Amino acid sequence: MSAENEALLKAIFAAVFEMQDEAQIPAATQDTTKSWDSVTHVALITALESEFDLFIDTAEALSLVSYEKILDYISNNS
Amino acid sequence: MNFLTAHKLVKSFVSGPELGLRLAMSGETENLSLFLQAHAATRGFLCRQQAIPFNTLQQFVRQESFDEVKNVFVLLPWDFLPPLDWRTGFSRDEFSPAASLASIRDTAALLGNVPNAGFVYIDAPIPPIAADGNANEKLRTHLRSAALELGARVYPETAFALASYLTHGTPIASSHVSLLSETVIELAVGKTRPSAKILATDLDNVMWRGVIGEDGVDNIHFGPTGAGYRHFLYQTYLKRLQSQGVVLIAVSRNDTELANLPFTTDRMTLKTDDFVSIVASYNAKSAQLEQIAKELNLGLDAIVFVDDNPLEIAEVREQLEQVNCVLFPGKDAELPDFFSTLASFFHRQSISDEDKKRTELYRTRLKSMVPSDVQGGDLTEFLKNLEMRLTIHRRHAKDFDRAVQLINKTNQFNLNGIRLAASDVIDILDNGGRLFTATLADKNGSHGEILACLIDRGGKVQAYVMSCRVFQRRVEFAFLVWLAKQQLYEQLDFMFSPTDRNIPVQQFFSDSIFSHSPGEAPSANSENIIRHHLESHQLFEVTDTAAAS
Repeated sequence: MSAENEALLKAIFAAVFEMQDEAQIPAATQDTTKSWDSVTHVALITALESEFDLFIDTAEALSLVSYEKILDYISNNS
Repeated sequence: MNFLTAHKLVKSFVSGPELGLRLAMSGETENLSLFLQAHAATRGFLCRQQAIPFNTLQQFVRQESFDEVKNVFVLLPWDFLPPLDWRTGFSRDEFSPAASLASIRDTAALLGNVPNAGFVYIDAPIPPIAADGNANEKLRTHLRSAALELGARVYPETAFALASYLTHGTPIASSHVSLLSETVIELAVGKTRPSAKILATDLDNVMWRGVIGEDGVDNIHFGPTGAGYRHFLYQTYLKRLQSQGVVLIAVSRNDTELANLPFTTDRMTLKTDDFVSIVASYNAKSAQLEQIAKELNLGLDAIVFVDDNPLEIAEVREQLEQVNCVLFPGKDAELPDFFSTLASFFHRQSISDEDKKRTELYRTRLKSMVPSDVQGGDLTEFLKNLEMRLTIHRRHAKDFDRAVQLINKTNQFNLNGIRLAASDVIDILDNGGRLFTATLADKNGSHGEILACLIDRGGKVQAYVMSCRVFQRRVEFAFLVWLAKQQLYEQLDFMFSPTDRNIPVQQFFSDSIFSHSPGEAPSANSENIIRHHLESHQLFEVTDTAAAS
């Protein structure tokens, strides 16, 4: 994944989950991030589709529950 | 508007009058919220948005009294006919056309009675509840008609996302979230975006099929047949816009005479007089557009820019955020969407006499063509972001076909226009000469082999050509820096000869690295090349295939 895409993904996490500390973002998961609920998950999927020009299908959207998984997904699909 | 831009806009918005808005939709509205706030902010409003609870639209329209908050309905087919809702599964009840039409009519009447309301309709696909496909299609048509009768703005089925509707209850596709939010805000504010005033269009492969500088006027296509058809349609559409008062400007990387030539042939729908200006230069298009807006005394947001090259679009977007950019489609199937997009920018309700004379008025104002030597904006940042990779190849008789082809078919960036036979090249190589080519790739993909340089034993450059696809990227200088660094020649003498078409090369020789002595070829020494253009070279990750192997 290019450094540009990784920076974009971090910016999305910072905006959607209001994460101030960029160093925490790579370890973020749905379980460990308080603000990551069903509502912000929808915002996250919208942001990913909008910024990376993707269409994320249902099953995939439900499986994207950590920064690392999303990073993998973007690397393989964008 | 994408997500991060919307987020930035909302965060940086300080304050403004409140815009009260109730969004009435049979679905979750979370993915719209940020974009609604952002589009309200661009109009100076602080959006106070509320939504009706999930799946309560039918109850909402049946309430006895309404408050004064502006209601914007985003309607889906199942708001008119609930058994069509994908989320509820297929009904076992037999489909009754009469009962269905009655339900559609009743709901439309209820919606029409809601005060202070605006409507958007998503023409989403419906489940096949009728036994035959024809009845389903008729049902869909009735639904669309009912929405239109309400005065709804209709969005195509691509605005609906079944996956996210089933998973999260959010029916609006991410691809349409921003546009739809903008429409909702327009309906809430009661004002539509002002119609754009200028259509600035690229020429090669947009106005016609082909590259005028390479193919010549006889080999470009723009008629209602074959490869030219899409360009014929585009020209007829532009002619229509022009007759409605839209100002047409052509913006092309070309020399002026060439850019104008096809319009003077009497074979095209559009003529020179249909344009307020035909701006032909080799400078950045953002600089050309900025100059036009200044000359016409119009805001940049009045411009819609059309180009077939995503890089040109990206460059203009990066330099001039307010300009509306539209990519000319690569496929005929994309033409309806393309023309609909253009139409959405030019949405005049009426056409005045002044509108009809606008081209003439502005032509008078400009008096003459925009100078073609406007300076480009600082492209360095833009070029850095392209992550360009230049790969240099040393070619020999066994693998120089593409290089010879490039030398013989390039007209614009061509040192002297001399056509070479394979045997001419072999002679030079056999006598100690060298043939270099370069391929270019960037983060958007590969541009293929785009440069060829043939140098004889004595350091005389016999051919130096570059594809017009990669103008304005400083490849021509980056390559020379690489060459200078190889220390093969202390000085290069360029066997330059001006032709009718090699204006870009003539501009290239105005660079300060070249010495011009009367009666002698322009020359440049290696030290000078490196000293002046190292920065251009550093824009590229340069690979030498000979060194790599």
